[in-house]
Amino acid sequence: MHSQLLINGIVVGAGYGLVALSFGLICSTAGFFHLAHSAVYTAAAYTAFVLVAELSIPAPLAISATILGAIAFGAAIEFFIYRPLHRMGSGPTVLLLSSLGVLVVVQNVVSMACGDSTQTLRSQAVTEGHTVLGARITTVQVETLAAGVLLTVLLSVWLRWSGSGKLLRAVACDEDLSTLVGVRTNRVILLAFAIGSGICALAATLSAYDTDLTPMMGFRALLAGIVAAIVGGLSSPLGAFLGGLFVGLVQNYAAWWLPGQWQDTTVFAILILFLLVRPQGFFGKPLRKAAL
Amino acid sequence: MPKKHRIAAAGALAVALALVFCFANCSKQPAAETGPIKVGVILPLTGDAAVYGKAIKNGIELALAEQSGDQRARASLIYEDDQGQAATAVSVARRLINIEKVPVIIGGAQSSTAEAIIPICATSRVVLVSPTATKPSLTRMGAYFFRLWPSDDYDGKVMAETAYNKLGLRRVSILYINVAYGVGITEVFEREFQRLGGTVLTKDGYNQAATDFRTFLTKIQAVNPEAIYLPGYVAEVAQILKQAKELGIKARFLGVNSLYDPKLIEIAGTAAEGAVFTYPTFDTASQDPAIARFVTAYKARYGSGPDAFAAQGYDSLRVLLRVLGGGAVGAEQIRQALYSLGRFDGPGGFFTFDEHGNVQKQLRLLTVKGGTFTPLN
Repeated sequence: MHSQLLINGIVVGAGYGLVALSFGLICSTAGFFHLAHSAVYTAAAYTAFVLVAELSIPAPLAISATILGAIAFGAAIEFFIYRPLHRMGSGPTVLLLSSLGVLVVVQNVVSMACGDSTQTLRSQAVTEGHTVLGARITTVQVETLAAGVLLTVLLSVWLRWSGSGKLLRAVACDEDLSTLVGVRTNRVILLAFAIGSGICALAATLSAYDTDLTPMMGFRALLAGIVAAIVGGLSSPLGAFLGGLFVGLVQNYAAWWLPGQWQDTTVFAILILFLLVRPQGFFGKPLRKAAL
Repeated sequence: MPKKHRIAAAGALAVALALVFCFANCSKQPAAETGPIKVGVILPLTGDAAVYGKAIKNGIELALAEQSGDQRARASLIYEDDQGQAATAVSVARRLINIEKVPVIIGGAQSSTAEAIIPICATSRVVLVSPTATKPSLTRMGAYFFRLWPSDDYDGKVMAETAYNKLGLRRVSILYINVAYGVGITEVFEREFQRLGGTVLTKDGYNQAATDFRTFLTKIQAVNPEAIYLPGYVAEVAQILKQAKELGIKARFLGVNSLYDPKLIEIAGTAAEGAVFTYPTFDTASQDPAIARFVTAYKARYGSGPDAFAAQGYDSLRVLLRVLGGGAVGAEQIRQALYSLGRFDGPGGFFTFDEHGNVQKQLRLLTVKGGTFTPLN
């Protein structure tokens, strides 16, 4: 039973980790809380749903199209909404509020277009999971875990050694100074939005295959993802992913030992604890003063 | 205006008012004695719940069209639209009670609107018959309230009996939705099941809109129950069934009437196979003569088949016509006659009322077989 509990926690945590690392990438580069990330998440999941379930497009093609669509959507939010506001001198608070606006609009458009009830894009019969060390794990769960590990490694390597990755870290560290030395910060931020939204779309699609779709799914996923990113450290992909695993494990062990209603409460207890004791997270450097 | 004229004007107004009151009373009194009895009907005829309100109205209209020639057993209906809003329900209920002076109202189709008008009806001593309100606490709110749809917790009682006596289950776990509905049913089920001699191994609540139930299910797996009872709504319960199958749980699943929804099969797919749940009886394909006759008459009148709401509306008025035909006059007599109704047969199944005005009726047991809802044998 305990191996099952461990796997439950890790798999849920891997999902949180994917959201956390994509959110952390954008948040640390752009310097504010991009809450509309959850709108990208919801929109991506429903795009995959429409492509797979309604238009019967083969899954690999549909998922690729979904990820490309999300990249375009995330970049468009930055280009058409945040950038003009930023140019007008808006600070992180105004950007946060505008992202909340985008979130509300997208969530309601999805709910009007596809309804509030649960939708599913799975077509095959529900089958028993594979047995690993006495525990059950489904194919989608294995894929989520694999995607989490792979993207954490790729993103870490890219940020550490590639030229564009270094530029991203430079902007994250100090946007004004980067501008002074000739970095085209707008392009770098746009790149962060594009990559972050792409990863977010993958996380959303995997989650849709696992636990289906509702218009609120993005917001719930982002809440857990933000906690994970704060626990692990916003600027570190490894930290964000491990933060996700940590939150997933705590949440599931809490559900094991405590009555089930406390599951959500424990997540926010972790958040408060970290904000009080170690706001930069396990792996993060202290937050910049401009980052909200 | 001089003072004398003002007094004269006031006097004339007083006389006029007195005359109006007299006419109102004089014209009303004999009508109540000989003509059909006024029945107020408050339904959500517009707004979000209009689809249910209109179906109930269709049922009521059919019952009205079929009423007998017996003068005592005739009703004249006064419709009011509550728009599915508690505040609107209150104002139209006051109008029916204070202006129209109805002794009985069919209304409060939703628990929220029923909750708002039950106290008004109770203090004004007007009988209120709800065709479809389900919230358990409603029947404790006022002595003049009756309902034709079983209270939510009745579901828990019937499932406890079914599980113990019919399915032979002794050891169950409960995984419920942590809202008033789920908590209420869980309490009733647990009490009944233990009273019969069964054991509730574990019970756990999850938050509404949760999507990951694997650890709850792992906890249940650890105690290995014969069955798992799932009071909740279809969105979460379908997800629970899917994840339970993925975890390889073989226990039997027991549910509540909210599972009677195609979404269950769409989301849970094969994982829903064998799940058992209760549903207040209404089966348009039934061979029962009372139901078959109702379905035929409804189709002839409206061109399409009736749903459960239409059947509830039909039964609401018919049960009133029955007690009126039995000689009940005025709210007090109608109320007593409803308490001592005995068995009443209608398309919604036969039923009687308990001492709180709760309907006692047979629930159908359904199961999922081959991807469709079928009666459990």
